[in-house]
Amino acid sequence: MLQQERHAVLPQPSLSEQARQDFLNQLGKHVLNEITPGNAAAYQRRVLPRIRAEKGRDPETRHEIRKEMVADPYYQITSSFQRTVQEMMWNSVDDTIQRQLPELIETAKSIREGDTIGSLHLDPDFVIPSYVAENDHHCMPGGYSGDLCEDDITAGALYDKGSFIYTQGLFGPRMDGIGKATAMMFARCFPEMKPQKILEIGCTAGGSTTGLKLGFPDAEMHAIDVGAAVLRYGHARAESLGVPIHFHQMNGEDLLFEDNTFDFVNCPASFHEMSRSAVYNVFEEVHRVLKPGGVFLMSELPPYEGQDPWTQFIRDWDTYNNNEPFWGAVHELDFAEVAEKAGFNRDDYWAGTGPGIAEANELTGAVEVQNRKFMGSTRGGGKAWYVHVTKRA
Amino acid sequence: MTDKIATPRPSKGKRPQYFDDPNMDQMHSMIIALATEVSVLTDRFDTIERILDEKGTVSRADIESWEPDETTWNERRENREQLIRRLFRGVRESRTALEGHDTPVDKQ
Repeated sequence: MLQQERHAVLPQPSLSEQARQDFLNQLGKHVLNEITPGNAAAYQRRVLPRIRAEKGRDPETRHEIRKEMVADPYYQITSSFQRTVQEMMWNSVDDTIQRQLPELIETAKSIREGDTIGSLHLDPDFVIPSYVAENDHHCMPGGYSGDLCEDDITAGALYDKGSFIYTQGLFGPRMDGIGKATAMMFARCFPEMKPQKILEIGCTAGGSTTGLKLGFPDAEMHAIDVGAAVLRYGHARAESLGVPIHFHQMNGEDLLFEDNTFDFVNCPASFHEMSRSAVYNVFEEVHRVLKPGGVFLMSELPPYEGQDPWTQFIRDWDTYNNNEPFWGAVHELDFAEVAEKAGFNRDDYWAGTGPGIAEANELTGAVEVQNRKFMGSTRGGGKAWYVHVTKRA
Repeated sequence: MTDKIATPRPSKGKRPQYFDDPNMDQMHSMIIALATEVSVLTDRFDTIERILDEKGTVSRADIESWEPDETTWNERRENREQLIRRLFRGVRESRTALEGHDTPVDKQ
């Protein structure tokens, strides 16, 4: 059994909470692998003939399919299962955190006030961007920016513990798979480069950041996010694991760093949580803070382009069912155009696949990565999709 | 001292209505919650039985501090799988029925 590595602020479930989380994990997996694939037959036998009868042709977009699929009883019950399990999973982790909240807050605080190897910079006047404040992404109660009491760490703990269950351990025992995969990708694409100063945009609880730091042990690592609670938690977590990271409460659209500061900026699958205009603004800011010759590397789930409407419909489940309102839009975004608008040169832009989290964590043979994840995003052991673009020297 | 934060909290964002009758959505989530609690109770009984087998007596402290080893955890996983399979019998049968017949549509 794959278990999450303990650290000073990781919430510890009681016997019953653990039993609840174990069951929901297994139920989620069963629904995903054994139940949702039946939607393909429901589509072929019931929905597609209806669309053909109505329109006299095959569906041309995923939206046409979705309009009819939501009325199909098999889709209804399987989607209700998926959504409900997701909600119950977060709530079960929330119970664990709230029971231990005073102690967890105290632990994070004493780490912060002791001898530290990294740092934490919060901005009391910070305004949370509306695309985070008004939506709880992937149904996580309180979202990324929840700050529920003085010195709160709930959002960070919820993301760290909940995502481990939600991804069925795929991010790795340290939840650092995305960062490790990104470091592998960087080394493959830019073997000559030795970045000294690195920025990660959208670090949440710092899982990816600690993984990325492993690949660049000598670099100064900065990480930003918008929520104070995720940053307090991320800082305490990183310190507890002995990884020096400087956390800042900052909006990627409005970075408080000087021009030409970083050799390498990373955005680990954060764009699907941002509005379209925010993606453009972040690219502009990244271009500004990169040193000439510096590299921006981002990862996302692969774009929908070139995929048939049925596959797009499957992959777009999260947009309508998992509180991911920007999911569909970002998968249709032309990142080359975004980069060019931000000041990068199109010739310096590259997009394609690279090492995934399972490969980075050497989990490719583990049962945990063999999920088919039929309805919704790909969470199997496959390749990740990357974009990199270099600022002209 | 931190004030108790209300939990569980609903997440902000639109929750889809899956069934034609919104009460069906409520009933469905109640059934899943009940099944979950059955599994929680089963694990707890299992813990009590294992402690009794070992010591002949049991206390609340024994129960809370007990941790399953790998073999026990795998046995429990298998038990949970059986519970889930019984729970999903009807849904699985409807999937089999949907996939069971070859139609002109399937061949395209």
